[in-house]
Amino acid sequence: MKTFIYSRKSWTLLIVALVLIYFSASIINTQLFKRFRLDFTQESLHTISDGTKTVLSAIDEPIAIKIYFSQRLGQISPQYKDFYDRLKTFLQNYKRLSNGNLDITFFTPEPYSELEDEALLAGLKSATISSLSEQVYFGLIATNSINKKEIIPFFDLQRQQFLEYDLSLIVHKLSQSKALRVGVLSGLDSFSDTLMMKQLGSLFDIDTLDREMKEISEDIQTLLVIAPEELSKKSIFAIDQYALRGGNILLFTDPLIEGDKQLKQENKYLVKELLKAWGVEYDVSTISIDAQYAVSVNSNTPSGAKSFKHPAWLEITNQSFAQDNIITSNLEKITVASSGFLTQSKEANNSDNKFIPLVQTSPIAMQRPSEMFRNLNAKVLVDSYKKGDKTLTISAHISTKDVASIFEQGFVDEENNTTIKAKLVKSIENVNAIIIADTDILRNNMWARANNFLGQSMIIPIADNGRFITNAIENLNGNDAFISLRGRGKVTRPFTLLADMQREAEQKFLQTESNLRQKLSQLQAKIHQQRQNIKDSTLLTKEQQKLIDQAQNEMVNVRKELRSVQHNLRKDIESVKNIFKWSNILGVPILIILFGLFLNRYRNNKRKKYFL
Amino acid sequence: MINNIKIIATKELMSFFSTPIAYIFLIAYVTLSNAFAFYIGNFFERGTASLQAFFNFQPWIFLLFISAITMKMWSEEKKSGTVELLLTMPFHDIEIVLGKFFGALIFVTIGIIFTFPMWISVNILGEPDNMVIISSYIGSILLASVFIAIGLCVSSLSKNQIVSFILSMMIFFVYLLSGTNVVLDFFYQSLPILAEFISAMSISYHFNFFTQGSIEIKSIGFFILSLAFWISINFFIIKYKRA
Repeated sequence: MKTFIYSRKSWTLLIVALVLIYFSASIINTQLFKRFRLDFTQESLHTISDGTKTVLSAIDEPIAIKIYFSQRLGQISPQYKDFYDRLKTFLQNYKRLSNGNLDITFFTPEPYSELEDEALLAGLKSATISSLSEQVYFGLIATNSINKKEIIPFFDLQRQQFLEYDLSLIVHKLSQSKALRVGVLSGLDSFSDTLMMKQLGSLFDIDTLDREMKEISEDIQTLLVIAPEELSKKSIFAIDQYALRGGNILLFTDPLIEGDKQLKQENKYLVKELLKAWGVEYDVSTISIDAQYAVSVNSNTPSGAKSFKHPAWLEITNQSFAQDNIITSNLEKITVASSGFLTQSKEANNSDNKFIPLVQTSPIAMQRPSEMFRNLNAKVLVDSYKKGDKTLTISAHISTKDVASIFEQGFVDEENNTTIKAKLVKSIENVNAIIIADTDILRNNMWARANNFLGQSMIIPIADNGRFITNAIENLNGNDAFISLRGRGKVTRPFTLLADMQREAEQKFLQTESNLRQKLSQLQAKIHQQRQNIKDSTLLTKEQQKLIDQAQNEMVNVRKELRSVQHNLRKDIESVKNIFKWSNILGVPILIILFGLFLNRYRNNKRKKYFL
Repeated sequence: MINNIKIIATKELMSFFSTPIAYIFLIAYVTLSNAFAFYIGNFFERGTASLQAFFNFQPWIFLLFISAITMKMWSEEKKSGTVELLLTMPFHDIEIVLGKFFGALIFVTIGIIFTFPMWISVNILGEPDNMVIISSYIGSILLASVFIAIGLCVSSLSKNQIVSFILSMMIFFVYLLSGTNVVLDFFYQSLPILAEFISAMSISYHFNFFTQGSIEIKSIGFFILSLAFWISINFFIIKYKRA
């Protein structure tokens, strides 16, 4: 026995047993604990949100998701490699939570392979690596059991923070048979082609309603009303009746529409009356001014273009949103322009009714007549940039009981010379509406830009206006699962120090460039003037020649200065980068040497003391 | 037991710092890590305030450095004959093995701490997710500890330091390569069952979770199992040699 224990054979068996135990335990460990993790990221990027879990648990049929990613793309672009890794992690978690209904496969298409042909036929886009003339792919194709297809032709890095939302939306669309039906009743034509409408169109079944309709159809689940002050009385009648039967309404009204300040707003007082009936006070001729959230704009002055704070154009941040409301709690900023404000009417202020402010100004806001801002100039901007002492509500969610129709006597249709009786003179359900006292919130330049990426148009949000509107529609319809998904927080973390330096340098450059160009044009005018003074075939006097030469020399110097300003723009940023680079690569090793010398000296001293 | 481990660990650590080799290692490790991050990892070109560019290269830098650190830990003692002296001291074999392991781990951790100026730099330059950086450092220490356990084990097999160095590097290389996308994607497409097994055994697969800010319990389990396995093998080799 003793011989066996110490024999080579027994040790070999022991090692083999250990190896088998190690491999088996590793596999069991991976299977047993694959659901458990600690998400250290600030934005909880590795934690699937409750919204996604709701969407995944609702899948009742198989959905196949195929991801195509070219290895070459990962090699040349670390950002795309990171994006792909994140996508893989997400999808692996999705698969786990889908009760086996999601089948996910990853492909690496090579150039001229069958896989590449398959990807192209399915609708994916390729990008070209110019140095190699090679096509690369990074897209997604998802299909359900009835071959309904959703595609992401090429993942855009700028939409990385919306990855969970985009994936969950695809799964949701493939697992749902019907999208929410949203009727759009707009007093303005200019909003039909906006990015906002495009985004809403991708999420909901949008039905653009006829402005002459006197009744909203029962199958409209949410009514989107834009600029009702531009609608006819007939349309306002339809809105009144729709609200009284408990239809969900998202209404945009505005005392001053920036995009079209010359609009007549004929029915603004009727809209005011309608909102009053719903328990909301709204002043049609006053806008909100807020020095805290004012945005910088350029304005022309006699001395040239200058930058001013526009106190009616506001970039409102999260601290002024309702924190405990699912519509606004995870939004970062919303931009509005010349917005009005809302208050709950005294009559509606009781326990049966709700007036929930969603978006407000800062506490230093004030009201100003909208007429002041109709023909804007720098003086108005400077004069109105003052601190007030009010917090004004720009958007509110209302629920009001026992609302009376503003068309109790019916509606007189002047065109057909008939009187249309109101089917409802009093509400049968609470009026449920989200009112936003700004229409410009929907304009492209307020919240997004369209990015043409490999032939596909992508919406890149610069503010959360889009999310706010979409959240509002989802919430009105009780569909809160998606609201928690929209933008999990910033994924991009730029080098803010370098970005600030860049911005400062650019501003400095623009200012200097503007001054130098002005100087240049003055000098050119001077030279031109001198030449005009000289009659044909008259010789130049010495003084005239001197002036021209001086002016020309100055011009050369100005051009030199301009080039030097451009050159210095990048110099400072590069030197900061080099400081960080070399202090880490060489500076730390120098510290280690000093540490070593110090330790050595300490030991020597200790040794000397011991021997003395 | 803990005291004895402490004694051996202190002895190992002091033996590192008794020659300039320790400082050369530390300088080379820090310089290489930072240079790779800035030049090959495109630290600034990524445009993101994070240490991803730094941590991506840690496994490959450890492959070289930890092999070099651990190659002499048993081999030199065997060659110079001090191993017999060590084994006759009133320490259990496991205490000696663990003492050497912790001595090397503390030394490597000191090296990792010397890379903290990168962390400070990225915080001055932007607003990184510091919790992700913390999880990456935790992953680096766990990764280093497994490599040390492997290197120690291999060193106990041979008197020749070069053989220990090369053999350790080969094992590290297999552990790292098996987790790369190239290998895993190949198996996912051809033999999916084997892909699961290979990813379960891959160090780089588990380390990547840490660098992404996700501390997977299965990854912690894997590192602990790997540590236990290689230290056990080392222990049994010492016991066998003694027997």
